[in-house]
Amino acid sequence: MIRVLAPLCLSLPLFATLPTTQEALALAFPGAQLARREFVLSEAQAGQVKALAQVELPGRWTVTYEARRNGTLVGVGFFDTHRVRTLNETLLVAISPEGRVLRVESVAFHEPAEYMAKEAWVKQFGGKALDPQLSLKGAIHPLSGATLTAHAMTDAARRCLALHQVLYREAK
Amino acid sequence: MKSLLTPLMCALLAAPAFAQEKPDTDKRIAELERRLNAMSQELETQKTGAAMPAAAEEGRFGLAPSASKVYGVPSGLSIGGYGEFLYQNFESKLQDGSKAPRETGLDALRLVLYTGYKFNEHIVFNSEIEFEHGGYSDESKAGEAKVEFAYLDFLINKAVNVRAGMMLLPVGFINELHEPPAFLGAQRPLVERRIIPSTWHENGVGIHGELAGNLSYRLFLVNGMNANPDEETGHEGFTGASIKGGRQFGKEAQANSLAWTGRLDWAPMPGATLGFSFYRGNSNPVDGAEALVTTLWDIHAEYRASGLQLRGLFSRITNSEAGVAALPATGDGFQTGTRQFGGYLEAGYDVLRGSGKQALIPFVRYERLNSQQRVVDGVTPDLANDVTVKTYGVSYKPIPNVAMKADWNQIENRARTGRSQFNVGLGFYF
Repeated sequence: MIRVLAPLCLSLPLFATLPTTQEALALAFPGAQLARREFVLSEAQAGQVKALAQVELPGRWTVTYEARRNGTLVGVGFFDTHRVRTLNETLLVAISPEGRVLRVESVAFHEPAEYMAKEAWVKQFGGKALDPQLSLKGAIHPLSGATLTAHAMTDAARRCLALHQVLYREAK
Repeated sequence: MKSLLTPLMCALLAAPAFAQEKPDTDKRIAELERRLNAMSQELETQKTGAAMPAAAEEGRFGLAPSASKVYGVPSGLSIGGYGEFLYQNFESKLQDGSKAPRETGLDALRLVLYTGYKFNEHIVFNSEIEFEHGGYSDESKAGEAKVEFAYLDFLINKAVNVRAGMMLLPVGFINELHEPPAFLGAQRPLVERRIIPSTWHENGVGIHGELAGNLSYRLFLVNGMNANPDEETGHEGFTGASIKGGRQFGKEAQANSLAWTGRLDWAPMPGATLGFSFYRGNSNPVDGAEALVTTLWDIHAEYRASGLQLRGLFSRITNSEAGVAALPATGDGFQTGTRQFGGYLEAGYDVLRGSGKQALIPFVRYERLNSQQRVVDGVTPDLANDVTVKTYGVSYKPIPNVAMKADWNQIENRARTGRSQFNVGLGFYF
């Protein structure tokens, strides 16, 4: 029996292994050329991000990954690291040039696995823009049994959308 | 004059030297930029806890097939916990109007510490150590200090993972998810205390995972219950009011008879859950005794969206008649219902919807349960076990981790001895 089951189990994708940052970017922007870019927000910009996001901004240094196809910007990826319970999670939040979430992908999750949001739940963020509906009391349905994860992910999406608004849309 | 010429001479002499140093300066700036980029990438990696994309020439990078995995970061200790305090004030009259002595209570109901350790990406330890009623000491023996779960998870793949150790049985809503802010009401629903005997934890081994179609499951083999009381160990055993005294809590548990337990949940859309759970095993582990087969199952549904919380659960227990009838006729176990049921409906709505993370949730809950719906010959059911509870209350959460609750439990039973109560609860988790 073990001879049958062991190869079957080991051939399936690993539950605990999340995509790497590179893999997450490739999932969000398939076939795109990616370029890393750094920003140091001015005090005014940081204040604007906080006001737009309605969540804390941990620092003013921000790195983005710009995705281009045939030279045209098709999206920007932000890696957002935040505390879930007592340990951190890092998400890739991929945003379209129009300021809508393309994809949210967890690349690091250090809490026990049962607190991790399920894929179907995370898909709710797709297409969402930075508006009051982007909250657990609005268009995002709560996550039973992992409330803190749900809050942390929603806050991260709001923070990244606000950064995108200030750095890319208003800077044009 | 000399004082004017000296700086001029110095400047003229230094000019060629500056001209020679310019390429060096460019080199140094390029080197500093290179170092700054390397350091910022290193900082990004430290900050995110994940290996960041390696910068290639001209600031671009390829997607290396040998990309390192995120769990390459230091793994280790995870700490969490929760606590709850409960004030109870019982009504001065019973349901039939007779006077009852004044009774109030203020209890440090639970203080719990979770600790976990991730040995690597495939092996994780998780535990919960709980102090109830202020904890246990020689001076105050009413409390408890106990291990509620302590297991190893062997994470193999998304569909099949193995859990072994002391674990929570995956029945109902509350048994696995009982942090105070996670449920409405100062107390857990009576159905999930008396019919589904939360918190229920035993030793065992099993599998769990996620399947296609937004399904998740758990299937465990655990030590069964023990319906027989034991004065020496303080084991209560089954009674007419509940089977909860049969839990062995994995404490030197008799394992002559093992039991199966499991659940299947379906999340058709975010915020919605439909599922069922079960437990089945022999509750009389004494060698040669008549088997007392206990079967418990529940169906449950939950919907949460836009500030609305709806929850419903129905549970049934059957105990084999021959098994109950074989228990000593003078003992409490003989009173055990061979057929029991309990169910509740609950609805709450966050009236602070749209005002940040605060929540103020008025709620109502209706519960019906009867632990002696059917009994063995020779037993007269105690009508006090046929109970209806109506709860009206409010839960205020200044932040999602903290809940202050107040509610009124209107408790009635068919013996008309029900005693309603007012509760205030304070709970937190992290």
